[in-house]
Amino acid sequence: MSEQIDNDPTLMGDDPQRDLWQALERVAQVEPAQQLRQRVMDDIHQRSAHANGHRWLRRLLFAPQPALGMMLAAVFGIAIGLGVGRSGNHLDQRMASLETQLVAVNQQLLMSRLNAASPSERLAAALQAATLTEPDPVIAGALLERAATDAVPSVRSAAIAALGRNVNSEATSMQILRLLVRGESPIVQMAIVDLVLRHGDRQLLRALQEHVKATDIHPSLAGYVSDTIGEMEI
Amino acid sequence: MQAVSDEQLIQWVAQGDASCLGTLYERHHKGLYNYALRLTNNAAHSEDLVQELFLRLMKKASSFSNEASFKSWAFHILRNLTFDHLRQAKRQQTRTDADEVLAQELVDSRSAEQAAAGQQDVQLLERSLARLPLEQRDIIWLGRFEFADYQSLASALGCTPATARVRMHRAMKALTAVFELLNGVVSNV
Repeated sequence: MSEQIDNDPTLMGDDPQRDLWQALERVAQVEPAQQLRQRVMDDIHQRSAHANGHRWLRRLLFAPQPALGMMLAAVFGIAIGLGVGRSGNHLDQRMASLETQLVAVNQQLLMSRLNAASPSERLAAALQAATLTEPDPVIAGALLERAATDAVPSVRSAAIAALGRNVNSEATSMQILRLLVRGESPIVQMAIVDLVLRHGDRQLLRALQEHVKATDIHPSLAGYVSDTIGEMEI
Repeated sequence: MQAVSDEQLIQWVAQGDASCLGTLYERHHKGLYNYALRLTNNAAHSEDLVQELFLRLMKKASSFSNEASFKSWAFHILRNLTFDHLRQAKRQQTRTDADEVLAQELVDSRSAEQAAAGQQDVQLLERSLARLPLEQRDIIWLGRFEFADYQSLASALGCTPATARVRMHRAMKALTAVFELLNGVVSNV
């Protein structure tokens, strides 16, 4: 085992030196500006989106099966859009229709990626799903299935986080709590707890509280849930 | 409790989950920033260096090996970035060695609120630390605040534990000497 610096006899042998070493403890450490956190997070997000973009392009151009499906779906969506565009008289109607089709195509693409064979593809899809602003029950269902069945903990964890406010629907909330068991990966357990604490309504928070009491999840996590809900005064 | 280790998180980053870097940032940003700040004496440059470090961590995640801890590895990369930055900026050339100026600063800094001896000592200690050569400030800061044992300190410095120990002794001797010298200057003004 490596020598502890604090126990080094040569360093601590001399009185003034030892006093100075101990006085260093009082030198203040400061927090960096809040903007630094934002800058770093923006960087991470941009670079990872950039990297994923390259992978996406490669996949679209060179990979055989899933990319072809996606490309066909996109072409199909555009073709329908153009068809509707020709027959409609009003620009607003055309735009609305195209938007609907675009949403449908995007949904299909996302579903296809969520069910891809590659774990990194599924993970990227779950991260992308987390950025959706409108609740989508179809995507929520697929995310829930990933959360329950995916073999890779980081995919399960990302799928749980992506559920967001969808967690309050009755079907989702009951299933998500059932996933919170001791045998589950710690990062997944934390993702479930984090999801419910962030987005859960009063009823779900109470259900979480009861669930934690009834199951033998890690005591630290159970304590964290209990303390946080206690602070919320639900 | 840390349910997931730093080493596991950086492996997940290597596998494509860049979001894990957010957790690593929350765990280590303060120590990393203060280390850079202590070496550069410049808040804006230190923030830039920490930002650059996290980009490097993302790019180099797949090259992380479990031979050293994540923390040692991250500090080692930040150390290289900071030293490169300082070399480029030639900041050390801007240091003044006019003792009169220093003595005047110390006298000026003795406001009524700071008259308490303890506070003055800490201020003097900070000034002593700032006057040490870069490599000595570096090892003292890392050894005192970031790494408890010579093995992990050595990993961050990129040397052997025996070398880290020798360097630490020299640096502490130098700090003691500068502190006593400045203390004498202050007492005599």
